Amino acid sequence: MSLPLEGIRIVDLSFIVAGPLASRLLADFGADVVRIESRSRIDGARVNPVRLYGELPNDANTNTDASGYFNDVNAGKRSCTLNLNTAEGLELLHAIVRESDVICSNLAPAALKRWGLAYEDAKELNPKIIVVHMPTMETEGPRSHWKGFGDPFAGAGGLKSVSGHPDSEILPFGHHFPDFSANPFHAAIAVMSALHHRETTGEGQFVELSQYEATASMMGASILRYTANGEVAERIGNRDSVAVPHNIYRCAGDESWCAIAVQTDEQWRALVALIGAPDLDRPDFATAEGRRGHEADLDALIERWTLGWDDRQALAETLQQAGVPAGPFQNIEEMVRVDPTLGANHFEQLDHPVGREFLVHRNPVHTVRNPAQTRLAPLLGADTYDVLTEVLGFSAEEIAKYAEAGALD
Amino acid sequence: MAGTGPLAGIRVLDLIDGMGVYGPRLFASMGADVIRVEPPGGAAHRSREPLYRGQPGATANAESPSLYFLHYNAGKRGITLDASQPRGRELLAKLLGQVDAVFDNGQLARRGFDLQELAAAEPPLVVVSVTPFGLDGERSEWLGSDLICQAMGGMIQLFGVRNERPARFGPEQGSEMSGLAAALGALIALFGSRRGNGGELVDIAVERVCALPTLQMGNASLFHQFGFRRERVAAGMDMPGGLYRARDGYMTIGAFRVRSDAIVEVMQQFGAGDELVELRDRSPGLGFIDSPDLGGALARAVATLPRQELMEAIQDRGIHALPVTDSEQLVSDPFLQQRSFFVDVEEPILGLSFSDMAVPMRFGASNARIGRRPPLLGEHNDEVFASLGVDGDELARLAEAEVV
Repeated sequence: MSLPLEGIRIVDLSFIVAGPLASRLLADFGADVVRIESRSRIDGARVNPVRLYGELPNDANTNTDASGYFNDVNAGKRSCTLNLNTAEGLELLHAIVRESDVICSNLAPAALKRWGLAYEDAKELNPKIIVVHMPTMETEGPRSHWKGFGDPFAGAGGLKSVSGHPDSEILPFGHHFPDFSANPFHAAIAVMSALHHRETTGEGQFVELSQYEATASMMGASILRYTANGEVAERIGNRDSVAVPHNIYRCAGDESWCAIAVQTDEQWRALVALIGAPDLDRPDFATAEGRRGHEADLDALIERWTLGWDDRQALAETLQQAGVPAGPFQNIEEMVRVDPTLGANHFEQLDHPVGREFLVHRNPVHTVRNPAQTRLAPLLGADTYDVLTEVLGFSAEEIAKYAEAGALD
Repeated sequence: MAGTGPLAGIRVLDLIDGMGVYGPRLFASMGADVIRVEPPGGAAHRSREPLYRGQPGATANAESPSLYFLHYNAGKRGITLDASQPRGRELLAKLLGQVDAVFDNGQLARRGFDLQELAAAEPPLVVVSVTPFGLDGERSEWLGSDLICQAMGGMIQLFGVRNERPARFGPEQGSEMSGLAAALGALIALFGSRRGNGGELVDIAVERVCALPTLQMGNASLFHQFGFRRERVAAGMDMPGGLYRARDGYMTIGAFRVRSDAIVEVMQQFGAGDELVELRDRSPGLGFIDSPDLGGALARAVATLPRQELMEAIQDRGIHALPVTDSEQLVSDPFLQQRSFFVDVEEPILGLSFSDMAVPMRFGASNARIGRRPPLLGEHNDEVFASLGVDGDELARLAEAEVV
């Protein structure tokens, strides 16, 4: 059985994370994702200092193939380096677009226009092309030049107003959370939905995904809560509308925590039996309604018990055995080496030609019958020749002609 | 009524009553025919907070229905079915034979369906399972939740300060992301199925989805031997950059090192640049950008200025600046209003309309919009069960026996 997206070619005009991760989610399922790159304007992710090997090497700013970050979000793609400042380079890009199904981009709208790939132009090259564009705000209009990236999107999209403890200051969302969640996933869904539409109707189309709007879409029912009730959703820490108690509890040791979520009264009874504290075993706490409003007291009593545990994994295991939903706060080491759900299922170890073995996240979409494949990310420009011969059917002589004209980079 | 949108023609059964609920909502808002299956007493999500004009902890009722249910179920049809009864299970099996995909939180396995078998059946069916820890492995039996998966998947490590109590990404970002992963998996598998691959079992483990945002840390921690620490600025933004409080609200400014002059110019333009200019004259070049006084000076300047105008001026100079908003500010944002990001959806019990978010993808060729209000409990029983060959008499008997 072939992978579901085999035969679908995506021209990847994206950089850093949100765009590259969108097409990477599809590359694992067999799409031929061709990154169009340039040696004179390197994708910043290629020199991201999270390296594949050892301590920061002294080539951190020049070696374009050794970033662990880049190699993860671009796994399974090809790299074709073109000089788009030459007419011949643009000609090659346009020829690749003619042989492709999708253009996926998080570049500024002006860049796509400059390269003759605004949707109206791309459609002239290839009437069935699907263009998925991820502007910060909008592709056309007074805010089409606006810039943005991960962590600030979390603020703009409202997520920071509902994350954290009630008395907390506004904190950064580490590692630019929306770049790994709302934005690439919505973009990949946009590509797939447009492919379904094309399969049904034969039509290509332009899809705009404003990253501001994509992040705001993760606000769930908070918007209705305001429009229907006039209530502004606030930070509620780890409180929950159903489960009580529901928090992350301190264990003995440095940065050691365990999450507990009591969703039913039966689970509450199991927790009380396990802790054995008479203060908890009260008839008025027997129901969720009775417990609600006493969260702070309950949390203090529970934490007195969790502080007696120096092994949060064992604590969670014990709670689960008793039928209480719980889970340890896990650091990367535990995620990979201890956790059976993550661990080998989550990372694939690959050998990289420039460094050593390294870990690549597997696709979070796990298909059982026809699984995704995790493959290496491309070295810069490694596939230029292959793309020109296989995709465009060029001979060595023709390629030499383009090289002479400065079209290759 | 068929929906409009790129997924028109795709039929989906929605058994989700827990995590990943955003997945079937996306399908419904992009034109798929999504049939929400509820137990005869109603789904748990029908009473989930926030409620319309409900006090915290109140119970949902006809005057105070769930806004959560409204958000996630607009655009769907709805039926009731008790699959714990033999005839109910039989009807569910028939329905599974008529749809292209099913979204599930474990209900199918509880009713004795083998997910692998369903995924291998003809005609092809895409089975999308969303569970805390996936279908296989020693922790697949563990009880989970959004909070637990965020903690175990490492997501919570990305937020907050070491040894201060971690807090989850709200609202329920583990569940929301899993909805996205479920929708994506369903679309990829359905595409394969259209191309002759047959059915598929998509196994979404919320914990695994929660681990994706740790991507940048993985290699760093394992091979560099520098453990990741939660700290205040885990996002690592260059100075001047980060969070500022303008006169009327918070904003972020991401001026990277080379653009510090432009930031000073913007402040001068607003007549608030004196302190910055003085600082720059005192410590030119990189001395300015590295000065410990820069953050404070910029913060003092920003505090006197109106956010909207300031953002526009900074963005016009090619530097990123975005607001930090809440739900009220989002709803009031003229930019989002003008783009029709918000649409009216009708709450069927009250008969009132409220503004909610539309799907963020703007499809040029296939207008994706929420085509119908959410279903009343069992609203489409007649038409859906008729399509399975259940006549009015039998339906009445099934209702009597509380199968539907």
